Amino acid sequence: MKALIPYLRQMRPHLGWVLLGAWLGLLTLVASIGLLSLSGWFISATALAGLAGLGAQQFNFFTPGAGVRGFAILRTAGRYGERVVSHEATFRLITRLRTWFYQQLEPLGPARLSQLGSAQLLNRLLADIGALDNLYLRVLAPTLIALSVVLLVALFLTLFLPDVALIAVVGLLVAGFVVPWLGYRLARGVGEAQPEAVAQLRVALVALVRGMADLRIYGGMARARTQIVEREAHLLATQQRMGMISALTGSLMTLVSGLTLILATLPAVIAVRDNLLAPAELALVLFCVLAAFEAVMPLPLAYQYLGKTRAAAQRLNEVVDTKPQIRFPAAGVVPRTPGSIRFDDVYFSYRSQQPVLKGISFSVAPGERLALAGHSGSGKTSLINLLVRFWDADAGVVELGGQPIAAYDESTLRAQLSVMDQPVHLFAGSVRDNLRLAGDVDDQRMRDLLASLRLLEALGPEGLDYQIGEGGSRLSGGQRKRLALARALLRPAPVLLLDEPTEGLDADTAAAVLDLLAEINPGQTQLLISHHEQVLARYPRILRLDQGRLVTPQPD
Amino acid sequence: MQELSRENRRTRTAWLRSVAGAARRHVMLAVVAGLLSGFVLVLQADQLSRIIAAVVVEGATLGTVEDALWVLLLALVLRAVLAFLRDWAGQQASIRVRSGLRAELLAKLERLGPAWCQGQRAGDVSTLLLEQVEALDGFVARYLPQMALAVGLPLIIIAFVLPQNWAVALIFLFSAPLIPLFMALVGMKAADANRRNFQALANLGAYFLDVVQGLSTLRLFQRSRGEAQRIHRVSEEFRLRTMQVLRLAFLSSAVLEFFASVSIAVTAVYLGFSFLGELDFGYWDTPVTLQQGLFLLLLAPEFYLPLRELGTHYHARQEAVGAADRLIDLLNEVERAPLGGTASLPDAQAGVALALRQVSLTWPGRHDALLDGLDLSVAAGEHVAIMGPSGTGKSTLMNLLLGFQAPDSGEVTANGVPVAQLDPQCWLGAVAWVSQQTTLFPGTLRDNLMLAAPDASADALWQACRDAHADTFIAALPQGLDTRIEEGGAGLSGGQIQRIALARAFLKDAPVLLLDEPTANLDRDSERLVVAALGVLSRGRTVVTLTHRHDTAQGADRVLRLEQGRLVPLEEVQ
Repeated sequence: MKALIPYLRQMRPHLGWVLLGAWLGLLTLVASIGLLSLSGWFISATALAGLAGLGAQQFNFFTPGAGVRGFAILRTAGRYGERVVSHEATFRLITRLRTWFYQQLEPLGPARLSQLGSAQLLNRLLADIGALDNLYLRVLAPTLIALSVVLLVALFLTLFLPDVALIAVVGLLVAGFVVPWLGYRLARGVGEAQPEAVAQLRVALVALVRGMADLRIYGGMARARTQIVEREAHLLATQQRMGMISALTGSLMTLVSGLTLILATLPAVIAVRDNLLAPAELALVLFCVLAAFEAVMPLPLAYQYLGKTRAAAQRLNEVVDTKPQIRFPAAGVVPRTPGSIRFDDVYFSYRSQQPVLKGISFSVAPGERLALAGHSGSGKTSLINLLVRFWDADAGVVELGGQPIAAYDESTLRAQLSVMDQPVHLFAGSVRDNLRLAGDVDDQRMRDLLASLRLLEALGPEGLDYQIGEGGSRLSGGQRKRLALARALLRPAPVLLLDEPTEGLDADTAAAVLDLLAEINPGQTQLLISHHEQVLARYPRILRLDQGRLVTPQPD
Repeated sequence: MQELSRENRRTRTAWLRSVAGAARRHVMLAVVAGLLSGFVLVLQADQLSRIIAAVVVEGATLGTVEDALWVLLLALVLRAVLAFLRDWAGQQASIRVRSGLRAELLAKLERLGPAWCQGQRAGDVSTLLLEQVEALDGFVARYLPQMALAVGLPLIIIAFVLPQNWAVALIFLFSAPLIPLFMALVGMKAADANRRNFQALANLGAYFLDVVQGLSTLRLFQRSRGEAQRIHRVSEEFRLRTMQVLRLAFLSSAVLEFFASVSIAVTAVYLGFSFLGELDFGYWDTPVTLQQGLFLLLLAPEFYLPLRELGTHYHARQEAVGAADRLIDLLNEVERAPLGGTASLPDAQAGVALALRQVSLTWPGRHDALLDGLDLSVAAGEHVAIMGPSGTGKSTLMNLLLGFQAPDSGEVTANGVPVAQLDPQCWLGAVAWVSQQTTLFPGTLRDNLMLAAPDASADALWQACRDAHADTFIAALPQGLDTRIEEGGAGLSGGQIQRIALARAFLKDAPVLLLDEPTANLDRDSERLVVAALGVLSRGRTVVTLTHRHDTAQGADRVLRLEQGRLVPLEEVQ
């Protein structure tokens, strides 16, 4: 449960909503139990009165009649109120959790975030946050309500018969907590095996789709098919076990609630004989026991959620508890020579793997245009990662604007660089939204730039309002590149870093882009990465990287 | 537009029902178990009301009600068993439906063939076959049986209530004509609420994913700090908008709750006043007794319960309908892969000559032809390189040669026989290929290599690895050839995977070798090794290489360029 504490703490500001929701839920259940019990008493009492020859004049039917009607209305109103309030509380908690989690994630920086790995892991992380969204609605509120109902029912029944109260409490606790716990214990191993089974099936499916040509040519189709069928069977088998367990839990709940009722009947009947319980109150007591089980019915599901939520919280805590790898000084220096870059004997490796940069030295004067060439894996992108200080070098000096980059506070460092990185990330929203990241740029400037990148026309009549979709899915690959390039070009900064800006563009467009890059923003230092000779040819100075080393000696 | 979407919804529901038809028996079993459980419930109510009435009115003792208690216990055990049976049958139905559907989708994928698969994102397709198929679970296992039970169980209860007291039956039945209305209310409104609720959460999730994925970009633009406020604002907007809808939508379930509550209250009041002699109607022969009254009262909440449960399963239906859309799309995908014939390849031993004659192909929905009257002939043992930027149809050309795709017009032949008439087994048996993105399959390295030659000896295996310059790194792996490959290639580099693909080609020893950018995305060292191995492998075979790099094309007898759907000789490369 410790894993959940940070998330429970996030509930504090919304405690009012949380408690109101639970209270309304309790009210609804009490009304529901009251309605059946009171009705049972009412017809028993009137039947006895009728048999005794009493009429409506001698029997006070007004109070119980009003009570029955009152409970009926209370139950309806309570249920509605509870649903509205508990959803309100949930959405408020979601807002808070998301904001909080983002604030935990943001300072970690790409070096740590890249440790989270692939997009799949990132999706996992977000699913985990989603699982916590339901902590209150699915787990906390039902538990809180069930416990309160058990307590109230116990107190109420004690007024009539302590024996029945005891039986009811034991029955409710068994049904509400022991049975779900049993189900949880039984399902634990199976529940953990399930994601693994899904993952294995996915691997086999992806291999089939991606490698169907290989499989056809090398004769592996039958094997791949068998593998998929086997893995599916395994998944279905674990699901079936899981299903059996939940079916068993459900049956046990039915059994326990019924047994409790039968057991409660025994002392109640004896009590009536011994005049310890008025005859008319028998139905009241027994119906109360019967109806009380409604409160514990959602609990098995709640505990299934709890298991998932706890696992999610543990994974999230690992992320939240990581310390940022890069620390920026609170107050830093100012650049001495804005636009200059210097690397001096820089060594670098990602997490003690093979070194990617081995003794890199070069310098760039303010306003110079420089191209960095090399095959993929030669260390070009790592160079950029060091310059933007997403990572720190293992040895050597990286200088920007005449100062070591570690001496800058983050915003001074960022203000010196405008970057188009790879792969580009565009945000769902309009073209304008994306370009606004660069700063407060007026529409005309945006349009002019997009026109010279040959992108404006493609956006159609919507122009800057064109919605680019998730990850820019409504743009082609080349259009995405150019929009990201525009974003970087619009941002005023002494240094512009471009990672393969023409990749995926047709020759004409690429040429237009290169023409633009040759004349735009004079005075701005430009550092471009590419492995295309046509691109490199347009730059006055070229550095060639191969396997972490500069291969052509560069005059300084 | 509205009509159209409703029409769509109907076809999707019809499709879902037809898919679920495969498990009709198990769904029926779940329904029967549910209905039987309804009868037992009536029995329970009857016995409990008898016990209470006997004690209250006649002052009965435990001894007198003992029999009834035993019946109650028996009924209880029966209900527990039936509940289990119902769950079990629902699950079985769901398992059958899902595994049947998955088999159908897999068969469809195979018919669509590699050419289609290459155009898809493997992740998307696997999501379709996994998550979207799984989305049918709740629909088949719970929603479908509950549909029948929501009608059947209230009918059973009415059937027992009516002979006892017509007034109470009327109180229940007062809502009976409203049941279809409720179904629609619960159906449409609750579904709407659910859908919007899920949609809002999904949108919020997508937005959050976008932000987290773009975190480095935000940082580079100095926007990452301020984004927290934006997350807060966007989430709050979602909350306000969603709650507005939910407040209205929850009213529909409140109506159901209202009727359930009121029917208990009205029944109780009617019974009470009857007992007091104030009301004198509703019974058939004798005035209503306490036992009857308690019995009727106990059944009142049960009358509405099945409908309320249907509401809770509604999102399962919604999920299934959402998945159906995408599944139907896949099943309706047009199959363009040729089926292949039965002819065998003549004179394969003496080498294979390839030819394309007047081949044209246009993608559906495009005006300009991708391949436009293309001619190519490759003599047995000749090495031809084809150059051209991506998107010009090189991959399509390769698919035509492999017989994975049929041209709109023209002919592709091997040793003079149209590839479309060849037995695919026989034709592909004569081909080895190495592409730019080799996929390794789950299993061991050995399994992956032996795909090509299941009977190869250990010596032959290692020889192939040596030829492909793959022996050194394989030997250095802790488990050597028995290293397990799961996702993506188990820590092997791109160059190493490519050399495994080459070893596989060496082992297959086929007369035709097709290469699709075999050295793309490799570092210099790997590229050198792969090029060297390719030189050896190409000897004595018919080779077609696709590339956009001059250095890869270097060793070819002829270099051609794919331009505007035709092949033209590239003069400057001899």
